[in-house]
Amino acid sequence: MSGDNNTIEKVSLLVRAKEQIRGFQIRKMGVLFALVVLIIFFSIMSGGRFITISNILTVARQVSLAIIVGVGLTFVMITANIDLAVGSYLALSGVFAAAILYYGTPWYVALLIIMIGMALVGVLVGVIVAKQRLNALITTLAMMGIARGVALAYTGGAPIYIKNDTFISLGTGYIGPIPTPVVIAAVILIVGQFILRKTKFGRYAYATGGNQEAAITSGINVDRIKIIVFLISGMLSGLAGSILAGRLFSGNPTAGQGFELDVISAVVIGGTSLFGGVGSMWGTLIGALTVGIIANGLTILGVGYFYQLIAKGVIIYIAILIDRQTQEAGMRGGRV
Amino acid sequence: MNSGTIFIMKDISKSFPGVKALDKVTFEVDRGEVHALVGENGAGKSTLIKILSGVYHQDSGQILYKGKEIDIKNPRYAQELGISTIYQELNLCPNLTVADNIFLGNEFSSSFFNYIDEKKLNRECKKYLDLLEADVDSRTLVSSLSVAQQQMVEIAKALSYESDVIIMDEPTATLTLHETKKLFETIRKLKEQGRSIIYISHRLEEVFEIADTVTVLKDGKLVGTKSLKDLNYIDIVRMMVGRDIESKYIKTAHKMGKKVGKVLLEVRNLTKKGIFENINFSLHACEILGFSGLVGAGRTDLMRAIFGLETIDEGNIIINGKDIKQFKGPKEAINKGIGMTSEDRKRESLFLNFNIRENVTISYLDYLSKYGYIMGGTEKNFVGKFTKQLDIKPQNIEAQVITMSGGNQQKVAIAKWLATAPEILIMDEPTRGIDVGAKSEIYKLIRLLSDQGKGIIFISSELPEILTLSDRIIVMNKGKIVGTFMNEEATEEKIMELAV
Repeated sequence: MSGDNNTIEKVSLLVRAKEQIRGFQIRKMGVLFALVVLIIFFSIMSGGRFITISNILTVARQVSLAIIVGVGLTFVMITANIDLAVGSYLALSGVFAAAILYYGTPWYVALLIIMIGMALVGVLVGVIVAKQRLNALITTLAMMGIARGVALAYTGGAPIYIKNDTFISLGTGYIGPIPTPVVIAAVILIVGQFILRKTKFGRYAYATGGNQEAAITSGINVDRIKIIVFLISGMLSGLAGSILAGRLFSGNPTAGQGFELDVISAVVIGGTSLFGGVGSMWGTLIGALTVGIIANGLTILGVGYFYQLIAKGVIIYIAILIDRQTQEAGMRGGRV
Repeated sequence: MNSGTIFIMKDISKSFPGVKALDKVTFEVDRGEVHALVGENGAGKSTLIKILSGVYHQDSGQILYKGKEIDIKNPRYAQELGISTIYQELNLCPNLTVADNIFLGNEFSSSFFNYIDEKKLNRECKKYLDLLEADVDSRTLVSSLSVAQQQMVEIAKALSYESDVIIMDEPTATLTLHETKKLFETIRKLKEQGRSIIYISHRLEEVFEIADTVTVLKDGKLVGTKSLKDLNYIDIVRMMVGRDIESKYIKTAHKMGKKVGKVLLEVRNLTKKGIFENINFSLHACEILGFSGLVGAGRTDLMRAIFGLETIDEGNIIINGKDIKQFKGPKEAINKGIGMTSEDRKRESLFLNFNIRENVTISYLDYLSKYGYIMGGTEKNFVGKFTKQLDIKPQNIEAQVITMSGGNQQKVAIAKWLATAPEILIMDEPTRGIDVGAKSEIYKLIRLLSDQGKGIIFISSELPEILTLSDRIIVMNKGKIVGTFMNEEATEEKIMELAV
């Protein structure tokens, strides 16, 4: 019947229009566009000092930590939670890696112990959030203080030096022409995206953040999903902390201060919703590059650290604004 | 325009990206009339109402209100003009009291420091609640009220604005028969006072009972405005759908003398203190077991408990002759062959961030994955089977459910449970808020599933559908089973007598 076909046509038109508005496509494209503009801006303003092989490698090396931690945080935020402790985790894991290496432990044993240890810290946070039903923001704020405090107390505030060359090369070395941290970040990113999009666990994470009530009714063990995302976040922070310790030749209890804000900005700029249920690892990659390039570009232009903080704050604001507006565009006219 | 007209919306058009929601619609309402606005989902009712209440602005066309041309810029302005809207989705602040909600933005402030006179507030509030005969204390927090009570608060709020035009969007969707009767009395009172009510409902029985005039929309166009005296049920359905549909009562009617199969589910002495008590019943294969009762009679809580979503204090659940006492969680219930569609599909069933495919397979991923990896091709084929069987539109399984009509969303929610191939399917208010056409499809589907040997528990607050569809009807009242009828012996009167 013609009337029916008409309706179907309208509905499918509407659906297509909505998909374009709503999907991460446009949001990602918008951020990608901003990234390109930034690169062009800094290239012109710096008079060629921005686009050099050595500076590109520097940016890549700096950004790789944010990507590794950002992959973990993306999982956490897709379930509508947050992890503020990741900056302190960098210090905690660096300090204890250095302490373990002090006894002549092989580098891979030290790395393994740190990653497992930090995973357990993540499980602890996850259990508190999932089983005791405490707010993730407050729980990880507390953990942020505790982890930093333990690192400072254990070292008395002074760095512990690392003599193990292989461990140091995690942060400073190259695999072929590419810095080791960049290779590690790439692997983590690809594995992260695979888990998120292609596995049951990834689907359950989206479901938990999208509609927790429905997830429970659907037979999903949402507590387990929450515990696992915090485990991943802790474990990847342990990895990033070890890489950072390698780069600093020491476990430094003051390392990674304010790092959590960089990573959260990166994830949000990349289109992961603060309300859960939406996000992707590719978005987080673009977000991390944006944050990293702004910091690097401003430094090259001679803008002081204080002003960089202000610029970062403004960028987070804009990112969250975009996030909310795309959300509203998705909701608008849901019922006609 | 005649002297009796309160407002007229003339040649209103409105487009959204990719769809023309309204196409030159003219809508005229008289003083002191109850004017029903009907049409299938997507016909443009909500858009028209949102333009009148200032949520949207029309692309073209004019609005004459009390003889003057006006431009309704925002919802606040509409309210000042005397146009109040009670939306289907409740717009209350759960953490405030009933009185605070009713007078939100309208408090009785004395001149100093915006001090709120609590006593006067509560007194005024009580006036409106009494008018509705609502059993609600003005000092209770809205979060502790049932959905039906919250709806009453919404209506009281609109009354408090002393509006000349009150728009009610599906006001009875969550009300029981008894509460609906009270609402109708209130509507009649408002009408006597010369107020105009615009009444949107999918329940045509109600339209006939309460409305004077009806305007029918279809695909964003005006089909016609007619006095209800000149119409019957079939006429309106024909106007809405544009063709005759087989009456929902024929194709889906209960079959006399139907044989039911073995016992699938047995519940013994199930008790959750203060919620439901001493519940005993059994469900057979091929049986549609209706659960009737008022909102708050404990039906939903009982089903949630059976499904493992809530704990029970005493009693046993027996599945296929095996006493499992109680499910530890929904997962275990699903594995034992139980599915449950819940009454609030947006809150408890659907993932609005997912597309059709992801929604349908979410409870069945264990069987579509290997070592945690979801096999994409298998998943797609699997979903395609259900979208075809249920005739879900759009057919594209990658379409986002947020863009779909209520009826199709409900089909997705049902498909999700059919995917797990349950023997027992609990359906809590499966036809709430969906249009006539979609309802009749859901009825057919329920009938088909029972013919396939499934046992179906069907909760509904609409008596006609429970009477037509159920093989056996259990009536609950205040957490207890107060009666059981076979289809042949049940009547609306008998059920209501026990339920109230």
